[in-house]
Amino acid sequence: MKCGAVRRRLSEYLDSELPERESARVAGHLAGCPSCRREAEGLRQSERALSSLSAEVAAPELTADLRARLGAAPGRGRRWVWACGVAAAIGAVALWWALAHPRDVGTGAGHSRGVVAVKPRQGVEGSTGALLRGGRARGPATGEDANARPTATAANRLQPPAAPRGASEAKRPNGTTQPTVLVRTPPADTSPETETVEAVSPEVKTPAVRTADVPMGIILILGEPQPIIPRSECYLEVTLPDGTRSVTSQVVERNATGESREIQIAYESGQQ
Amino acid sequence: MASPGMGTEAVRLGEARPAQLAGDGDAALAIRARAGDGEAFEQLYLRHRDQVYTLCLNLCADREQAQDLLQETFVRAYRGLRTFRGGAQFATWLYRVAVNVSRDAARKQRVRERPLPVAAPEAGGGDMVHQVRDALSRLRADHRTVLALRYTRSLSYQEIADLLGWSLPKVKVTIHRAKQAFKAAYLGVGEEAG
Repeated sequence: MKCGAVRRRLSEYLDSELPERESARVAGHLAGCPSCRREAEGLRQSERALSSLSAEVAAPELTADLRARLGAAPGRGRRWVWACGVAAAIGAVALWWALAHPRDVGTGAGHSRGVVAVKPRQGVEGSTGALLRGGRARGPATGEDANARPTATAANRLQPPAAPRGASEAKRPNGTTQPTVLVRTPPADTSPETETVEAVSPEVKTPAVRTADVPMGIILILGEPQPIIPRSECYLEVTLPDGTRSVTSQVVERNATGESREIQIAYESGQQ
Repeated sequence: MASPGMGTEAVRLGEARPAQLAGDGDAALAIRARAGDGEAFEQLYLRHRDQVYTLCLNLCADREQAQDLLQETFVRAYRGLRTFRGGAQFATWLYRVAVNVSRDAARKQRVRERPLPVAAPEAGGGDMVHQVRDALSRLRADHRTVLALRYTRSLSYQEIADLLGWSLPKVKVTIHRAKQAFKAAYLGVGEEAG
């Protein structure tokens, strides 16, 4: 083993992180190489110094301070404050979008949760879009907008990437658990410009492909805190009423504890 | 907006299994704390506060700020308890929160890649500890983080990789470079610090 290779492994060697056989080779080299031995000794000295940092005691009065802080800010209440803030922000975006892109109102029976504000489809007359809440799962579209609306089975085609480990996943209508992304339509008396998606992705460690029939636009997928994800890309494949245009990508924002909480997906109009 | 309950319930993670609870006092306390048991959370705090404080201190090099970071870590941990899985080590999960809290604090202060303020030597602290912390504070944030994790609780490379969400090779390389940088800063030889 040459000096360069040994020195690259010195940290692992000193930390006992090398496999036994490789460790023996490094040790053998060090026995016969004064230069590498000096290098190793310097690292050992540094490690001894760093090891001196391992004993500090926190001030005891912090306990009372922490108790006061926790008493003033229970987690669940804060989460709902956060959630309301997000809802208000999304509502503002949806309202702006609706006013900027007037179009007609779509139909469909539905139950909706989560929010997606979408750009109006081309060639459809309409009035306004709005932020939706409530409703039921996507049903058949009616009226002149029927052909332009996404199909009714989008939610059923969305597959979770992995099973969530939680003990209390929401039940899907078909009796299965582990919902990930649900696409909903607005009730009949609301605008088709607002679609609803709820993402409850249990663990997105690999890119997850979702398929949904939703118009083009901006999607905000709201989810609850996720496990730590170093860098997670989530993308949504979108099928438009008149063709397929999928694009998306995006990214998981982290909440205060470093866990993903909100996924924002933006995609542009166009057809393939 | 998600309806009350659904979103919350759907992603509630990892209820610890009874077998895990039996062998892991932290996990059992975490489950109780998650259910609203304040005493259980206080027990967790008392068990881990010194280790978390030491980690924060090694990351920020300032005792006053380390106390703030310690509190913030436990506040966030309390709020995020439901994301803790019984199968994972509570301490490791807590360190992850502490690293994120420290990183956020550094970002807020816009000192992420600049040398941190070095605390003056303190009674009982010793010159050596002060010098070590001084040298540590002059390292890059990622170097400081891996060394603090390695020497605060002797985490293995794999544990550090899991905690930071890095690959194992990245951890190996970063630790090696961090040690070289620390050696330069502490002993004044070899490479430039950081």
